[in-house]
Amino acid sequence: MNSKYEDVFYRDNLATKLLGYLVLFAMFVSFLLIAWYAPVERTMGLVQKIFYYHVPSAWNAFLAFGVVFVASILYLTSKDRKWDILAYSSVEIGVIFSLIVLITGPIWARPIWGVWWSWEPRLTTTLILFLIYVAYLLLRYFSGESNQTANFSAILGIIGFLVVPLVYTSINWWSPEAQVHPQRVGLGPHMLVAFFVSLFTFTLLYVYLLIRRVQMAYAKTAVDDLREQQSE
Amino acid sequence: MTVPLRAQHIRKSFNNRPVLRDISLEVRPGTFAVIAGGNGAGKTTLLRILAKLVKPDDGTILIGEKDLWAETDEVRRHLGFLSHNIYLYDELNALENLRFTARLFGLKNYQSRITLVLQKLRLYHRQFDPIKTYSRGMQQRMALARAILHNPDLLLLDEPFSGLDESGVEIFTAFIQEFKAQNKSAIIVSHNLRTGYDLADVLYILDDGRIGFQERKQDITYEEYHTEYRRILEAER
Amino acid sequence: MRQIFAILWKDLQLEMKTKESFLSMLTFGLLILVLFNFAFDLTPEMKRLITPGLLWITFLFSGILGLNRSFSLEKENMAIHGLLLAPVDRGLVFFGKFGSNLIILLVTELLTLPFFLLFLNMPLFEHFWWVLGIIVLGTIGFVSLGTLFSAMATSTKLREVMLPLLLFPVSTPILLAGVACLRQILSGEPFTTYRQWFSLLVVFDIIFVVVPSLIFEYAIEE
Repeated sequence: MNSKYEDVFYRDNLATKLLGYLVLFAMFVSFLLIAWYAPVERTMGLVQKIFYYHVPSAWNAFLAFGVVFVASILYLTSKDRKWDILAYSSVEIGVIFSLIVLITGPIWARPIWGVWWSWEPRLTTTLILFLIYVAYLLLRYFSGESNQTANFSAILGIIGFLVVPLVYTSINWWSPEAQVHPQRVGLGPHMLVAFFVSLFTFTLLYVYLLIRRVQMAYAKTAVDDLREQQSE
Repeated sequence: MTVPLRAQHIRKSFNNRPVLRDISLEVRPGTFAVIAGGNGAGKTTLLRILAKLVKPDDGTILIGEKDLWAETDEVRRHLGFLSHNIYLYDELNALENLRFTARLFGLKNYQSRITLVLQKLRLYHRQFDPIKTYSRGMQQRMALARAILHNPDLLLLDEPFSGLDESGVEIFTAFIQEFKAQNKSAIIVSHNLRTGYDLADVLYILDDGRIGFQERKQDITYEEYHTEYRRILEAER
Repeated sequence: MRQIFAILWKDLQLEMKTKESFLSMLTFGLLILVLFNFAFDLTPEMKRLITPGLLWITFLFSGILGLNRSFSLEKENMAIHGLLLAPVDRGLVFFGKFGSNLIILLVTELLTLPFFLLFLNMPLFEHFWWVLGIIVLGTIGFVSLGTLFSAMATSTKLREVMLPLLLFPVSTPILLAGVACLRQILSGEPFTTYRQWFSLLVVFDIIFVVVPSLIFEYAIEE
């Protein structure tokens, strides 16, 4: 069993540590850009800067789910547990980023538009995504580790991903009044730079967290394998 | 078919707890293998793997010359499985339950086969009563009816005598003898050593996920078998 | 395929003998209707506005009951293994279960409709066939995903609770499209006003009948 998980990628190594430092550095630079380089937005004021965290978090939440989708398909076709590990690691990280979106959304919305929540398509779709993530985790948590649980999780990963575009479309058509969310915001050049740096940084953060989480999962598998061998 | 079943190096763990460590066995046509063992020794798991209900972590199983897991589900036609649960619907009667099984297996002209099986197992007179009204023994016979309806070549029976009264055991044994006379085989898990010994051609005892004992009945007396069984169970404690 | 009908018929036989699913769904649906009427002081205009939404909410919530029951029946005596032991393609098992769940829920919905007429003055007769069509379309997608998820849910510790958790988020498009279509139909608006919602329902149904049938085997095998 051990030989399956001995890929260099899956063990703590120098490359991962370097990535960690890179992420740290990038976040620091990104913060500087957001705080000072990007100007304060005219109409919305300082609170608009949440946008630099809000949107990349949303990007991460959906990217994570895309990874879940692919990993789920690969798991069902190959039956190799490593894809299952990748899938649920991505879920755990994705749920956090979607939660960040759901928290930063209202924080941004309240001072600007006067309401904590609006049933805006992208925000609401993120809410549904969050609920699917939570359902996935509950499903796993209340089932224990087994092939069956991995199968069920993969099914949810596949169905959930396929549903999301339809959810977005249906909410988007639902009521035009809910369109208080800025759609295409005009961003000045400095803001664009800050935004894309932030986006890049967040993506890097997602990748780093994913690698770390997967490594943790493998470490646990290795321990469990040792236990199993011991009892033979 | 030359060799009904050949299982090699079956391994299975549940949640990192090994249940079957390295099981290999072979059952020839017209012979019965009886497997005994303490609780948790892995007997039921082994049977479920052989019935293609649970996938083993390792090992191959050949039914006839076909690989159980590589083949399509058609290979299930050769197998009949009887377990602790009866795998039937309480609210339906015997006839409806067996008709359903027959249709699932795609049997043609199944009515005569159903009648025959019900008569053999002395359930014919109650065929219109829902299964939930049956006694435990009758339900067990009903489960056997379900298992044999499609005329399998290999029977996998997990404690078939549990819940049966004397006449039930008689009916069962008569059926099993007939089955053997057709040159078919069976793997039987039994807690009742005496009955198991009588039925068997080959005796196995599972010991903590491995085969701790294997002997042809003609080479061993019942007393020796019994002693061996006690010894293994004591060692497990 | 004959095996699909065998499974479908067996489920319907079981339901006809006990009527458990059907009665509990119908009763629950009525309860929701009645409670809503008490909880909200509804003017005729308000009734007109909420009818589409309330109809779908009622159907979805009571539908969950039937879906749960379908697989809990298979868990008694582990009858599902009787199915698994047979040389039946697991996709066909899905269609058999899907078919019986669909029929039972549709019958329940049909019998609940008169009560919408009674309590909410829903203009049922003027647009009956269109209303029926939308209900059927929405129910198909819901039951299809529900069949897949309830097979999974009955094998988990949380059982009955797990199914709504899994099913409701992914049923959002059905709810929105179903309500939007009904709203237009009951107001006498022409098809063009809700054509896009209708297409959404159709697309949803196609995807979520095909995909579950392909992956159903992973939901019921061990």
